[in-house]
Amino acid sequence: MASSESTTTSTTTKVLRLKSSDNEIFGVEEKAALQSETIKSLAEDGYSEDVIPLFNVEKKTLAKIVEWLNKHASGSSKEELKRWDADFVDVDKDVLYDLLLASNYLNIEVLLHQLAQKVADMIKGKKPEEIRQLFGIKNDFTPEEEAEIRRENAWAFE
Amino acid sequence: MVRPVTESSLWSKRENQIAVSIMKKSAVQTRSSYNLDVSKVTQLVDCRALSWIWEEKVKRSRNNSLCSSWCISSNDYISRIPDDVLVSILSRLTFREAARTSVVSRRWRCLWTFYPGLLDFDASRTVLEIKHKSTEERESILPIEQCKFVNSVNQALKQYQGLSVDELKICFDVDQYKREIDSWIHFAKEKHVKRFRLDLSCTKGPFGAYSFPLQSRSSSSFNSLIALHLISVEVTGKVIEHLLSNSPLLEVLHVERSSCLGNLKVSSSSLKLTYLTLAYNRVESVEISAKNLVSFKYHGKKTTISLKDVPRLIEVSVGGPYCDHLLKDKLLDFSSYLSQLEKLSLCRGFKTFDDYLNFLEFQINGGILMQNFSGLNSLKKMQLTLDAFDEEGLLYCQSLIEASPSLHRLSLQLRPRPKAMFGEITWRSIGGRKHQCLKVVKIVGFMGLPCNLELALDLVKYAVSLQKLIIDPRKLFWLGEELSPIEDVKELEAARSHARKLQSELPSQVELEIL
Repeated sequence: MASSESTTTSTTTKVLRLKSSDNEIFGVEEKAALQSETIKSLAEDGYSEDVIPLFNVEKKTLAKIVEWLNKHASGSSKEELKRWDADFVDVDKDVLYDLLLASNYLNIEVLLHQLAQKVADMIKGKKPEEIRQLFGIKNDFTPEEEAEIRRENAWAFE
Repeated sequence: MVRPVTESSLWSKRENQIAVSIMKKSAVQTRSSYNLDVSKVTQLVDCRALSWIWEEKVKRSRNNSLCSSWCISSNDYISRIPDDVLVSILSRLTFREAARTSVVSRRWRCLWTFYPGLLDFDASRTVLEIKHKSTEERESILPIEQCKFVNSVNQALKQYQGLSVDELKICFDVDQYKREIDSWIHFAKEKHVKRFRLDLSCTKGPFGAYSFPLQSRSSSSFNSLIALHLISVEVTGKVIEHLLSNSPLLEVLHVERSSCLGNLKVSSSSLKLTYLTLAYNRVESVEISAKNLVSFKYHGKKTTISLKDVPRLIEVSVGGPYCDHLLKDKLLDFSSYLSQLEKLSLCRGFKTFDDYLNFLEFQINGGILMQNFSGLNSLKKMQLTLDAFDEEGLLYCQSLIEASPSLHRLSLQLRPRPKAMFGEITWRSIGGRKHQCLKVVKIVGFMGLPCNLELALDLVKYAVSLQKLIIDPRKLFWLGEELSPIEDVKELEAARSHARKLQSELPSQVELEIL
């Protein structure tokens, strides 16, 4: 099914080729791909015939990104997209970071906002210690330093 | 579904070139939208792009991940996310919450200082709480709270590094800290603040002691300002005029409780001003000529208001003694614009018991007060706020409804009557033609008195197309008080059960909603 679809569309619409860091090439319809500001400006600069290499996007992430681009270019209703998006960002933390990095790198504003909101929702209402624990962040302050920063920003900790 | 095509090739020179191009584009675009200095970023990008490529290559050759220079532990993925994205994540928290992430780790220490959203120092709730305490308590708490507040704002603003701020709210009774407030205003200008609210509401009197400065240096002005709210800030008509002419983007202006507004003249051909509110100021005259003005609100003393050129005006709200004056005057000040108004809100001044007696006497002596309003042809929504025993106000109300053939929604807000009040007021049935358009009637402050029921039923009879009657028995907030008055649960329940009696008398198409 996938191949027949790509042959029919390739005759009518242009397909851009995106290459993941692990050398897989994804064909994406131009209309969908141009939701990425980065790709859009590359296309404007005349790079659209080239394979576009995405150095820090692995194939599993790029596959998800391409899935998102296609869905958002498919003309789904607002309500359906909303449901679909909620499912889309409901993923493990490491997938979430990869998606964040990739959507930032490709400058897909709508997706970036959705992902940022998702992470913000995870942080909301948590204490600094809980944030560290949640994301596996190592506290690299000495106790004195931490106390100093708390003093400096005392207004926020009241 | 897209079928991935595998190609086994090394990165060619051409590919490297494209990749660097991508990195520059993405970094510059996203960073510029997140409040960071673009010129600095572009220098960084080349280094970052190259190091990414290098990192990629090393990764592939060693097939393991690199530990970067931040000393980030291997499973701490989130800290590897670029600054601008982390700032974007923080911007979805409150400012305070974002600032608390400063102690998470070194990587996070300064991220919050680029927070682009609402810098929220709104302590107006504390002001209200202090207001309700005894004088003695107030005098001991207030200085401590003031000092704490001023330090908070200073601390946060001192560290702030972002280039622009979307919104700044500073609300507390600190009008004696002149130097500090000056510096906050300076900050607002420097950071191209878009929305600024300065509320120095006092725990004691209505007016504050801080005077808003006339812009002195031409280099710093509020050139990005879209909305400005000044409350209990002493601001003169001159300063407002100056602000208006130096803030070309200003759409919302709210000036409340300034004792020195004097003569205010709002006029300029390029004015974007859309919403203007003047409330409880000492003002001698107001002259407005604003092509884009959609909404005008005036609450307070009687004054001369002259509307010169306001072709888009559709919403008017007036209150206080000026409202009474305007009603007596048959809405004269707005006469040229009555036919275009879509929303009208009238809030009668407080009546004393003597006012009520005078009115009764006037009636008994055969006085006729009926004002015949006319020409509110486009009016769709009307809200009327009056004292529960303000019979005169109800008469105005009837006449206003009759003058508004397109009225769709009517909201009557009855302010609670004093406990000492006796007797009943009478609602005179509206005579003449029935209203064809009115769909929704809401009565707020419904006490379940016979006159309330009578009023509700009469309106139902009069509005033949009515679809919904909303009864809200909760007491109205008093002016300037945001804390809800203490509710008497029994009283409320009694009013609700009275309201339910209405059900049986309503035509079938009218839905009754009791709040």
